[in-house]
Amino acid sequence: MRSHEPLAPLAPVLRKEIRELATGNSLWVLMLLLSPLVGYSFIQAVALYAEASRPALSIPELARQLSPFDGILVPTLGGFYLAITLLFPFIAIRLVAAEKASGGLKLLVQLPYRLTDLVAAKFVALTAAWLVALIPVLSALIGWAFLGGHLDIRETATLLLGHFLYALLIGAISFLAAALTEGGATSAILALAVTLGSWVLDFAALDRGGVSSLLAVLSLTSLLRPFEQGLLSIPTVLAMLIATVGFLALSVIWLPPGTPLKRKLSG
Amino acid sequence: MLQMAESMPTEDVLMAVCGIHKAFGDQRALADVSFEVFTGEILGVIGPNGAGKTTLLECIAGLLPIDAGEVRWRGAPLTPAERKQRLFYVPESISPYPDQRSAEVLRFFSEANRQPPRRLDELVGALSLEPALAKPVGALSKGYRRRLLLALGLLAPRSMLLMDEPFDGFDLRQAREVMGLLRDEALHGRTLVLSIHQLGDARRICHRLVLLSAGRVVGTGTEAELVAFARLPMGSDLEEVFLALA
Repeated sequence: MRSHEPLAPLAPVLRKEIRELATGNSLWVLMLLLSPLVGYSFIQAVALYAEASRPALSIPELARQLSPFDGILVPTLGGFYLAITLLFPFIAIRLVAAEKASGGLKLLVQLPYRLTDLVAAKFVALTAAWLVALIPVLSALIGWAFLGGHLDIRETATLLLGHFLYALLIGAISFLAAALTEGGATSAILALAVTLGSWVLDFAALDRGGVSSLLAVLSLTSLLRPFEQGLLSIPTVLAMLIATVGFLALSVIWLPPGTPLKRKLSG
Repeated sequence: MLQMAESMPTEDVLMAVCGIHKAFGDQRALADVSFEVFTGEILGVIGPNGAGKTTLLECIAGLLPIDAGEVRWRGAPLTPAERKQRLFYVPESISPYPDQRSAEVLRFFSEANRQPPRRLDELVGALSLEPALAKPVGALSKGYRRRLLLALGLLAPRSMLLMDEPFDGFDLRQAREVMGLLRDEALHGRTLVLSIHQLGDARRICHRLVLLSAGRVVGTGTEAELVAFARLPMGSDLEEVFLALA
């Protein structure tokens, strides 16, 4: 019998997390809802863009002001944004809360893994889920290219990066919500309070200046805005990454059962 | 207990539970719980429902924070990092990864513990888990789920296993088979701490017993020692000890 076990290999826990995603219903329900949403957004965007383009056939100056990025890409990803904001937390929460509820976490934390590895494996699986969720968006973009539409690779990549970072942040917030609370329903309420709270901040900032507009800086949606303007803002990228890592670090602290509250609070 | 006489453990103290206190709000769950576990022994934690058996095992395993007291390993305090190297706790009524097939869950634990595939095959055979392998964990009967949990625990290469109600859900024949398997593990150097509510099972497999009642240790020792401690007449059995002390 070994007295000092080496750390366990990461591949098995990663496979387990991906199996958890694949065998559960939440990812497939997300796809079921996301696909028509993105498809509808794309069809609407193409219809509106076509309508707006018609006068440009006779007035070439108008054509210069038409941008497929603003007219097609951003609206198509609008549906994706909605699904990620409202439904992606459930995928993330399931990865943590289901294990807590089934008792699997009690076994998992005893395996020779660092807690950071366990949370990282879950997060990698969540990233894979985002990639799966991206399939309808990519299909729409490929459809646009087939229709003869123009896609600027840099702008498109910037926009997708923004949505990727946004999803990571939503995922990290959801992980923390699941680590803090008992039960998936409470976790979902907490995570949605943050994401939907962002919309409230945005609306408040529209009406009033002062404190409301200052608070609007904290809105998750506002972080996505530069990317929707085709801008790769390094400070925004860093802010989103730091926030994501911060929420994940807090999840690592709060997740393990058996750690006294005092030690959790002191980090 | 006499069945185990030929494989009695050494008197070398492997783990000492020292004055553990645990409360849930105002409700006291464990009060000044202390006992020692010897290398290679099978120690049974017995007691009435609500005595604190599960809480005690979870405190030792580090899955519940202890309010006061400590767990010592060969005389030194057991740190959270060392716990992962020394002991593994198998909870009672959990159904981990209900959507995944049993074979996948077993393979995950086998690979995570760096066990050779042969070891997994041996355990699957010894616990007669073959019919359950293709089924999702959530679809298993109580008995098969219990066997799966035992296999997950036995796949952990730790010096000590803590098991909560390892024979729950088994009929007499199955319980005896599992006892044989656990005895083998003890013979190969593993120390076992088992929470058992069936006194007959505890008598059959345990070298020594810790009797818990209302969160306190009310007796420790072999059956004969407990009979003497309870001041019962010679030949009294564990049930009488239980009724006298708990």
